[in-house]
Amino acid sequence: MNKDELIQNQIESGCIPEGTDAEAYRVVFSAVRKEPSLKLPDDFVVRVSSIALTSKKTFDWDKLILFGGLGIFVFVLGYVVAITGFKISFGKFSFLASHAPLISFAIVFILFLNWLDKRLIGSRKISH
Amino acid sequence: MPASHSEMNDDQALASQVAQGNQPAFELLIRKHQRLVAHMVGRLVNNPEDLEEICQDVFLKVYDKISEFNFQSKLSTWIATIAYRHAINHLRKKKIMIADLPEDKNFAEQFISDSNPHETLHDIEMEELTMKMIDQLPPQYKIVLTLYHLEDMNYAEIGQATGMPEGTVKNYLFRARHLLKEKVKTYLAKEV
Repeated sequence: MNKDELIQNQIESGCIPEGTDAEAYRVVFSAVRKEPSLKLPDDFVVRVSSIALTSKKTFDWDKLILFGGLGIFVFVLGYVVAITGFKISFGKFSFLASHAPLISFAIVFILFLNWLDKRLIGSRKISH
Repeated sequence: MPASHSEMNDDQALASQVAQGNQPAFELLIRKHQRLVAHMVGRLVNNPEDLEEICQDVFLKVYDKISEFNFQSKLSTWIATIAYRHAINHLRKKKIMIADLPEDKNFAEQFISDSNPHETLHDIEMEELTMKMIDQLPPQYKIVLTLYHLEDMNYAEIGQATGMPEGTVKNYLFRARHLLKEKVKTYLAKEV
């Protein structure tokens, strides 16, 4: 343990060491223990809680609209396929049918990369 | 570090009520932790408007994610983690370097010698001056000093909140106080 570590430990344990270093450390410890003059507005609590509860309600509506819209789209698509007898081997779509494994792999691969990217970036955000 | 039993129960009860959308419970949670969040964010962000906005975002995130809180730590440590991430992300957006600490030797020399030669202890209170010195430290040093000295967190809790290893927390705390001491000494020498 060097001299500085010793003085820091002594001051933390309530001792009063002597010397220039110790005097400087006493000033430092006094300053770091003093609260900075930071104050949030008086209405901060009420305002933030109101925003939180409102945004929660709005989010539920967003979800409903998203999944509702998706449901309607799938239903309409299914209906169109049913009444037209559409098959994926028609015309230009035959390319998709003949390369189905490759296209499936590409989709899965892109989704995997996207997932991996989010995981890695998320874990690096506060790394040192 | 696991929280104490009674503290855990209080946290659990409060978190559970907040997760159910209980507004008074959420207001109580904010009141209990706004000092911690303001200290953490305020140490890293100087602009008062940014401070308020980031603190607000922190508590909105807490509200959004509280159902996922697994009580592996104190509620305050978990909230501190969110506050730290928000403040650090803000610094990143502002292009303030936080990934690496300044080259120790050069930074230390510059930090210690960078004082106003005309300023003496008769002109300014030493404690206030030291608080201004803290603002000039790298963000990681400032946050460790704040959590340790103002929020009474131990090394493990600071590690949990910031993602730093305990050894790094201890080292940053020592180095931050050492740098401040060296700078304060230059003023004390002038006084003599």
